[in-house]
Amino acid sequence: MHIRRTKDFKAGLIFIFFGIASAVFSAGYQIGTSAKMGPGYFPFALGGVLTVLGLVVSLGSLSRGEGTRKARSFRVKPVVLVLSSVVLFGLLLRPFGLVFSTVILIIVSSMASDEFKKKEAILNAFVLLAIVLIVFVYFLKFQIPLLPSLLVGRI
Amino acid sequence: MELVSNLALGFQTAISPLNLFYCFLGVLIGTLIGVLPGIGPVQTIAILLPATFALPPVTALIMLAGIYYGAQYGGSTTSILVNVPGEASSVVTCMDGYQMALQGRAGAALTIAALGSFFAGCFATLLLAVLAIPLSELAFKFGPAEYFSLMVFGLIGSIVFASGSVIKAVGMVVLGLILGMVGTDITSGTQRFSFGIPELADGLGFVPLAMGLFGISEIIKSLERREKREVLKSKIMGFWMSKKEIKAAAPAVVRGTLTGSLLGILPGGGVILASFISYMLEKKISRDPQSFGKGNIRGVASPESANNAASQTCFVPLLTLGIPSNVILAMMAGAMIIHGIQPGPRVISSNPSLFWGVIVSMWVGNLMLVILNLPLIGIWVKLLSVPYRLLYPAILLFCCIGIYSVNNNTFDIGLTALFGLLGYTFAKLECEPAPLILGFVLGPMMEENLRRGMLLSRGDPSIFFTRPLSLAFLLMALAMLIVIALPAIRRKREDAFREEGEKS
Amino acid sequence: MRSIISKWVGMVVIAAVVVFLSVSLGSAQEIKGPIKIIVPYPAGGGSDVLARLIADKLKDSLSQTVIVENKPGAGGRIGTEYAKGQPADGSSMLFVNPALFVVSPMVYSKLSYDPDKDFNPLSQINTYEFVLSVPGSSSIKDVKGLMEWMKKNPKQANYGSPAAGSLPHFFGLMISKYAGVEMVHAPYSGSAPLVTALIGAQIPMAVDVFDTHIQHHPDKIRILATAGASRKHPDIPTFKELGYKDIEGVGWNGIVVPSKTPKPVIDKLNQAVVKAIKMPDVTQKIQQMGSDVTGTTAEEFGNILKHDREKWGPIIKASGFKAD
Repeated sequence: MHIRRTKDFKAGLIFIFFGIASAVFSAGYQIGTSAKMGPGYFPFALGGVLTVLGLVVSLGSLSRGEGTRKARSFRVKPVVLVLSSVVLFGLLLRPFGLVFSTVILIIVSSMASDEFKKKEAILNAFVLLAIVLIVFVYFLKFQIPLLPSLLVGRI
Repeated sequence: MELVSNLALGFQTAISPLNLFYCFLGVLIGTLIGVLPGIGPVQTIAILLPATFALPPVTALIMLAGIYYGAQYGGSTTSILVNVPGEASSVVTCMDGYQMALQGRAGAALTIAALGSFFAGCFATLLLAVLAIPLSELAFKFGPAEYFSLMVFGLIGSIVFASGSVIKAVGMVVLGLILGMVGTDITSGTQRFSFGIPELADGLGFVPLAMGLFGISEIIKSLERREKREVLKSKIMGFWMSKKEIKAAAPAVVRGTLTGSLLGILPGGGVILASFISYMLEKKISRDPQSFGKGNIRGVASPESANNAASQTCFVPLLTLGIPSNVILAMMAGAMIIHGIQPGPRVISSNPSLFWGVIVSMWVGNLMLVILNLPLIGIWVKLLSVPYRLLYPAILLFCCIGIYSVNNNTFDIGLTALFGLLGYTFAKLECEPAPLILGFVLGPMMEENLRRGMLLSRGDPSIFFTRPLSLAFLLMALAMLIVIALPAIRRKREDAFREEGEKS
Repeated sequence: MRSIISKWVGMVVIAAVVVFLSVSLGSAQEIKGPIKIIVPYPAGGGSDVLARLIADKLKDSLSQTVIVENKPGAGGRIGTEYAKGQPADGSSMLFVNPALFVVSPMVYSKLSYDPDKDFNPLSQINTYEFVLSVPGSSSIKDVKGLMEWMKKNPKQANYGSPAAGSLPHFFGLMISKYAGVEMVHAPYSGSAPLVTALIGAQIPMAVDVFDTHIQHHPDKIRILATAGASRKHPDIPTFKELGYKDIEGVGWNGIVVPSKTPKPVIDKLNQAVVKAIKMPDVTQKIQQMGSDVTGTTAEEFGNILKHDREKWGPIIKASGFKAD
């Protein structure tokens, strides 16, 4: 199968997934009439439209194929490391504070690069930490927990 | 000659050393937060608001306004350099601005963004001074039918953003519309698609969505391929625009300014809408629409002028009627109240120095911004020579902190990661995110006004066709649909002819 | 003569008792700072502005750091849920209104807090009246005229409110019941777009709070009646004096504390808060916002909550409104 076609096919599947999900959940809300539309009316209709669009895209990809563009190589490492560095930051910010979670974010996300150097990443983490503390905490006065909440309670 | 004396009063107020200083501080902070991805004027003004209570009211407003339009100035910077929109209204700038940067024209893109913004700022200020009161009437002409038809026009136009498959672009618009439905439904008060999560009750945040779809997915894509970044480093050419570029950009700036000035007055998504619609128009009237999305300078000039013009004219309803048209202006209205000034139609007569002082300060602020920003361009472009392996963790960090500070919750950070994954997947499948973003912005307003219109007319859809302004928008939408469809049809026919020819 | 003397004696005795009590409580119930007033809405909004005015005065009278903490989201429910878990030692107060403490418990099947179990009332701060208005360009001049017009044009009897599920929404239903006309409710996303639509005559009438409409009265918006007990503006009648006895609609802001906060602490905070809002400069600013200072005791505020639920409960139930 041509790559272009599988791309369209998958994109169509995503549309169908969201379309059906939207329609199914909206059916649980009040649909109403066109004069007095309920909260389900619009998303239900949109879900239907998106499902149809998804079908057209997917089926269209099966019937006619054109072009054989190479698929870009898919690599797991950047996806996983970049996303998990962000998620980790979110999870750690409240309990452990900005200082700790900043260092984790920088180091984990740096590992996603092919040119990762341990020392450089750690240095980068501390430089950025200093910038963040000066700009956001000192200058703009953002309300962000800085240190682990347990520690703060004890002092 | 009343105008002259009013402007004189405004100048007197705006150039007092105290106001001048806070105006500068405001635009400086604005530029800074505009440049930093994820951190926008909403959270900054919310945080700094209490600090301004100690200032005289006019000074406080001058500074807050400076932060707001300063952020529109700075917002384009990261869009152009690293494809991460610094501001909601700079999403559009990513499309051609980043492409220009990849071609080594980052300097030119930043220059036209700054100059276009300056022109737009000057024009919008003048417009405010001369026509603020008559312009405020424009908002009254917009009932549900007009808003709905404007949204239809915007959505049809959003297909123009697609440089690839039209049908996939339509799918992305519809997906954006659906994502926009998450949260509390305005018309019924019901929670939709929130699954009992209180953080979803206000809907998906624009910032996590835009940061995820553009910023995070771009970082992952860049990490996959090494060669692109070398291009960036090796080919940074002059900062100034070529003659050809100036000739192309100048009329685009003017068109963007006009579009932005008008759309800014409408309550709601004025500023974001302004940049999207001006880009759409620019691409549509271009003789060479194919070059958009591939580094056309007009695709930077027009939306950047539009969003700056709109961020100034959106003050019209607040200053003339006391009606804030977005969250930021609502906070400024709060600042006025705390200073004992009730925002409303009487401000012009009861506090003329405040009214005219703020307006003139906008022009002064724009002047400061252009002086501040032009020399900065050199520094920004140099930033590109920082190795990417050091740059992208910093972008991620600023995004995360900014997103957290919008609502002080970490849920949005997780959401950003999710949208990053979605954006990356879409990029792999050649689905463009811009139509989705526009659908997301317009969807809730479109639904709200459709339902309100149908409620008020008791189910009679003719209101959308019988009101002249509404009809005009619908006809424009239809015209646009035909213009979009025609080339596709012609191409099909040409293909058919070619096949005929080949056969014979 | 005797009555005056006895009055004097009585007042001195009361004053002595009050002074004694406050001094003794003050020494016994030192509130540990910093004290925070949690505002479940963004900075710069009406609640936030009020809270900051009060916080500024509390600083001096309690000689503690008093900060305003904004916890916006989900129409105030996120901040309220957050507040219920805060220490109940007087260091946390929460800013509330009828949407959070009267309407939400009735329209959510699952609510993350219980207004009665999780919180104790501290004081009602101020009240603001609802108004019924028509566009300035409208031919309708008074409530009677409006009622007649609705009878003649029942298909155009639409009213706007600042939000679905807000008290003005239900206040409109109250009027609808009186008028005997089924008025269709068109909710807006806040007062700003509602006022714009009303001035532009996109809707024939609207229910909102007094201060958002009075600045446009009588040119661009005509307020037909206010919904308080007495006149708010010399030229605008109340529903009561027009003969609509049961049509009364008043919103408010108040302060509550987490439920385990000790009584003496509540009393001390109540005194400080009431003192703060009764200071002339604060009172003046609150009045500029178009609302009236109340500053009730904790018990009175509790009764107001109870009264409001009894009053609005049947209307909300009858409307069939559900938020989830």
